[in-house]
Amino acid sequence: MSVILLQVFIVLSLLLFCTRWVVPMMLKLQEEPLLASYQPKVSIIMSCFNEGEDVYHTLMSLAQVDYPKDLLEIIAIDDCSTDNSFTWMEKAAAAHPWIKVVKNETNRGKHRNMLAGVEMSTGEMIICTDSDLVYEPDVVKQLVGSFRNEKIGAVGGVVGIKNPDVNAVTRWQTMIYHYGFNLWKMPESSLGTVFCISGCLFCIKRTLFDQIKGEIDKRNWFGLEIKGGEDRFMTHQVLLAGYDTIVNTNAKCYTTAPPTIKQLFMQQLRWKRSGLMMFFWALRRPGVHVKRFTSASLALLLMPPMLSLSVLIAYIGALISGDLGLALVDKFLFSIMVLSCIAFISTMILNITDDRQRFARVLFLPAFAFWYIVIDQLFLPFLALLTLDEKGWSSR
Amino acid sequence: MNINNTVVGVYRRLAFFTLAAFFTGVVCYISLIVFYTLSSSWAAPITLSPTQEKVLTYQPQIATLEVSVNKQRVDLQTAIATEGAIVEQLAQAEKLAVRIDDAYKQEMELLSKTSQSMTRVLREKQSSIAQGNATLRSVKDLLRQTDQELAAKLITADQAAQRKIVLQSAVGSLVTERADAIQLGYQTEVMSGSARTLGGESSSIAAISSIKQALDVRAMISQLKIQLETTKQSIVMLKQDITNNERVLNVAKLSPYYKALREEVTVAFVPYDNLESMEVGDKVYDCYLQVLVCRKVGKVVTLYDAEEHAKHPLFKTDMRGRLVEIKFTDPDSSKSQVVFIGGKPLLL
Repeated sequence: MSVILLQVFIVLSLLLFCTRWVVPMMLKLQEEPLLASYQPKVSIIMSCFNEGEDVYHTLMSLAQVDYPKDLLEIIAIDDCSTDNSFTWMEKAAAAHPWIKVVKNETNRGKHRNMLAGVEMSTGEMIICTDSDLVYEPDVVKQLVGSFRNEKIGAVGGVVGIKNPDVNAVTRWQTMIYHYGFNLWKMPESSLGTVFCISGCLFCIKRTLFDQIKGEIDKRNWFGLEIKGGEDRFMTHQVLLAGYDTIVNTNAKCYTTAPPTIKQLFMQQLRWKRSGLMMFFWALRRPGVHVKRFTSASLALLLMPPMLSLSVLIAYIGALISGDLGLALVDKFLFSIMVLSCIAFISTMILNITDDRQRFARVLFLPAFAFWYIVIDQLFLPFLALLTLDEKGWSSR
Repeated sequence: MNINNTVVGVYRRLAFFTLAAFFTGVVCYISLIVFYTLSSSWAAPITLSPTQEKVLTYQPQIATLEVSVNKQRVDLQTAIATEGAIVEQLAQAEKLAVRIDDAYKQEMELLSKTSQSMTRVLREKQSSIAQGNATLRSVKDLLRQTDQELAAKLITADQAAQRKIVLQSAVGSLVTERADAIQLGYQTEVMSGSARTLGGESSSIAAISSIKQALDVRAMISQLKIQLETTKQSIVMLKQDITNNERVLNVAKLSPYYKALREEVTVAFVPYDNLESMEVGDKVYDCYLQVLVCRKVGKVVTLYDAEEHAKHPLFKTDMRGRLVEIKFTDPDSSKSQVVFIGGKPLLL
């Protein structure tokens, strides 16, 4: 049974991967032009927790974006960091007085900082962002210009890695980020149903935000406050409100990839946790989802977590039946080989298309293919499933 | 709110125990991997019973082999008897051939001598006939004279008749002489021809018939020799086949599967890596939780030679090794996943 599930997993994964790869290639060829004449006032809300000097560079990078300054508002909120983050924020604000900085008395979570920041802001368009980024100068224009019609409710950008060649961990994440943003989200974007616009670059109409902020505010898990995964939740609320969500691959920013395995592990665990939570949240509301989404969109929403759960069940079954060793040897070698090839090709594409994220060493790929299968697909969903009550949050 | 607290409380407890079980399982699994990688004393018990498929399939194989050996034994006895008969026939035929040769020589000499004697008699006969011919001319004169004397009535008819009878009798004797000479000449020629034919020429049909009979005897000898050689080779091959099959049969009968045809046999699969340290008489231990708290449960009584294939008890990969027969003092231990031979695995 477990072996059959594994085979199903591998086949579906490959199908999913091909879909996510081939469709984006085709979509890139038919990108629509920006709505250049549309220049509303934009409020950028940044939440920070223990970011150190990075937050300063983020604010300085934001201050230099190519957008009329009288139409740009930056609000940075320190969520009671225990390091010197706020000092760096104040330094940036001193250099650019139109940057507002606020410090919380207690740690409230990113979504509450965001709600508070939006309350303070006056922009017609809201951009939520993280505190460890650098931005392409045209990022705001790209995001705002993507609201080509009234149906579009939120637009996301692409996040790259600003430290791609530090070590094998950052190289691996560079490849993963590239794959995730440029390939994975594209079929969803073509359907107008991106299910998770990254919190690094999340642009939403204020009117729409006001419409869904109540849901964000009362978001909880059996009475427990949830501090992470707000971007996925917000995206979902936008979709359920009847609007489209898309990604503009020309709106780019670059984040700092966790350079250690431990940080990578914790980051991926948070992502898995928020993904699972959203999956269960959606399962509890089947009528709304069936009514709102097309079958293609539903498949894109449900397939990844279901695959994760199926492979988890398969490996638990293999462990109990004593076939885990055989499954590891037999199936993993094949999977690692396939994934290594895929990762290698992705890396080659990345090296050709993005000057800022080039790296030449690809020998680490098989090792991280092993990481992807054993940790990312097997262990992390399991651990995330059992730690849904975790309250902490971080940008990485 | 209370329901939420209950759900969260139950979830947290469930999650804690699941995670604890998972980590315990993973740690145990990794420990077992390490243990099996380092251990060289483990063996996987197997109980062979008469109804097992592998045991059942063994029976017809053995039976077929036994039937084959028995048939070969019968064939061997037949071949040996045939060889004896051929040897006897061959000896008689060879004796007959020698006698024929001797008879040839004697008959050739006899014919030669007789032919020479008859030639001499024939010459004498021919000389006698020549003389008779001269006498015949005198007889004809006497007959003419008799007729003249009768016509002249010098003699009576009776006297003339008596004289003619005497004279005709003499002529008849002479003709008989000639006929005898021809007969004698023919006989002499026949004898001479036979003698020459026996010597190698082709002058006498009768002698050639005799030679043919002699050749038949020699052909029979050659045929018997070929049969003898073939039979001897068959005997050698049959003996080899019987020896080989008996050896295979004896080895097969040493197999635990043969033994299991009659009764249950408890064996254990031992991978090649673990075989070096194992001997007959080694103590066998069975443990709780595979490797902990072990007790002595029997001893090794036989090491089998034949290679066996089995699955690794943990990794489920194919392994090569051999079977050892174990005499269990605790029958339940024969159902354990693994036992340890020679010592306790962790000295516990």
